[in-house]
Amino acid sequence: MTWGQAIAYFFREALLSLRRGWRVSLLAIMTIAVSLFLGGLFALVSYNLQGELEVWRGEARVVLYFEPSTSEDVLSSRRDEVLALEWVESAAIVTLEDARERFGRTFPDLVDVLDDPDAEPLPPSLELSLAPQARAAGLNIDQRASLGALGGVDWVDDDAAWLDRLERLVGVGRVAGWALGGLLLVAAVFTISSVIRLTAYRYRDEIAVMRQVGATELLIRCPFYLEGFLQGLGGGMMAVACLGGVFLWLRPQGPGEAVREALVGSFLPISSVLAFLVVGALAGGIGAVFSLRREFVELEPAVD
Amino acid sequence: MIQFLRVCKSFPGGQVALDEVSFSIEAGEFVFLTGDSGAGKTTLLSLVYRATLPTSGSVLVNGRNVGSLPRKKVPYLRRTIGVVFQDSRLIRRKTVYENVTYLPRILGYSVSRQRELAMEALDQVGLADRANAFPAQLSGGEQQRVAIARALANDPAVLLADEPTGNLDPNLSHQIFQLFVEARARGTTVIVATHDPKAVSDFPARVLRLGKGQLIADTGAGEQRELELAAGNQEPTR
Repeated sequence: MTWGQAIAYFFREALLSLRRGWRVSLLAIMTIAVSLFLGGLFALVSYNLQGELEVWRGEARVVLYFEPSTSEDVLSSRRDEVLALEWVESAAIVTLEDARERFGRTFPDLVDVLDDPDAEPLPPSLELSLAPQARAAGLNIDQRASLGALGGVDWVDDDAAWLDRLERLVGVGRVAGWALGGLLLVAAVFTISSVIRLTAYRYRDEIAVMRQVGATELLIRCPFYLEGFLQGLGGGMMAVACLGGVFLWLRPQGPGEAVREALVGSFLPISSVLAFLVVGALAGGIGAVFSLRREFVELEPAVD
Repeated sequence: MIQFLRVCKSFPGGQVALDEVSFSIEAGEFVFLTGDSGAGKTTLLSLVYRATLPTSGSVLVNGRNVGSLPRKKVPYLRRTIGVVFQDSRLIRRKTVYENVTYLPRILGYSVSRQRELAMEALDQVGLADRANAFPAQLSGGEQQRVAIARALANDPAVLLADEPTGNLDPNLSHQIFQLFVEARARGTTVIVATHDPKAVSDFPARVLRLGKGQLIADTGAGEQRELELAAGNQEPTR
């Protein structure tokens, strides 16, 4: 038998077996699909959040909040002082009026809050843009201390600090997603393994005859391996299709949907989609190999 | 063609199936293997196509030691040996034709060549017109003939039959044995394990008789040559 004939034979037998046992095959495919889909959801969200984080990090600023009574002259003086620092690229004064106007623009429904005479929630501030190297790393302890020591500074707010926390959170979410997906994938491998073992058991009479007439182990086992591989590939395709469906359903339908934009703004890249298919197919193949690793159907005649 | 040299086979638990069995069978011979249940007939046949390995001694098929054959080579040995069992071991969900074409398909023959070989084998057993039937639609005798056709497809050098008529009435048994005689006439070496004394008397053939795992008699066809194998005399009888 040539390789071409053998491959055609493997595909024919594997597809025939999938068709005959379509119910259990579907179960195996769905198990793989669910595990990859759940892992994929985490991947989709973390992929989008990571993208947003990079944008936010590019726009990250350090804000120095001053006491409400600080005059504009003092603010100007402090701006000159911080601009003298080599790791500060620019500094912009945000007066009380600027802050109120910005707040009113962003949250028009909450503007009444600012009318409370006993509170001043919007102190004047200096918005610093750090030099690129410092921006990537965020403020170190000494830099933070030197900013905090400036006269009139009430609070130093570093965007990089919360971005770091958010990035860690995204990282934890990603790891948790992969761990959950991986766990389910292992379960899926076992499911496929059981399905293939059941199939092989169902065909044990045929396997015995094939061994009897001289079929090689490769010829006997490869259709089962291929069946597992195809089940895994089917699971991967189903997972990608479901992810695509969820993405189309949840993606932002217009401007101003910041949360959706951050979580499901764009679909996974093609390399990730291909990785899903490969992982699914490999999981199926491994399940099949795992199920047939023992000589489970051997002709062992009785003593007569 | 087939040589057993001081072959012993014991199973876990100490059960001895064959004990120092030696004989030689020439190409094209017809041999009956007889003996009581538990005498070791099935074990002996299974050693020929390496379904099991000898505990000691050597089994040679065409000069090759079957026991030391690498595992990967075993299928190639089996392609030259047709085997028929008491139960026909047909695949119920496959047609007669599909049951017979296992070996031609494995060998990668074209569909037309597969058909040619299958129909030739089915013709030899008189079932060419039942090619599209399923085993359940056939009688016991017909099923056994299909099993023989499967064993004969691609013209094996050796045909082994293990109690092939155990489930059949005498008339059908005679027909089955006739098929083995015809296979032998085409040059196939035939070894048939049987309990059927009528078959042994009806068909002139060499008879190897086993008793408690030992070869206790080797009767040549037509000459009633009986050798009592004394203990210690382990040379091949031919």
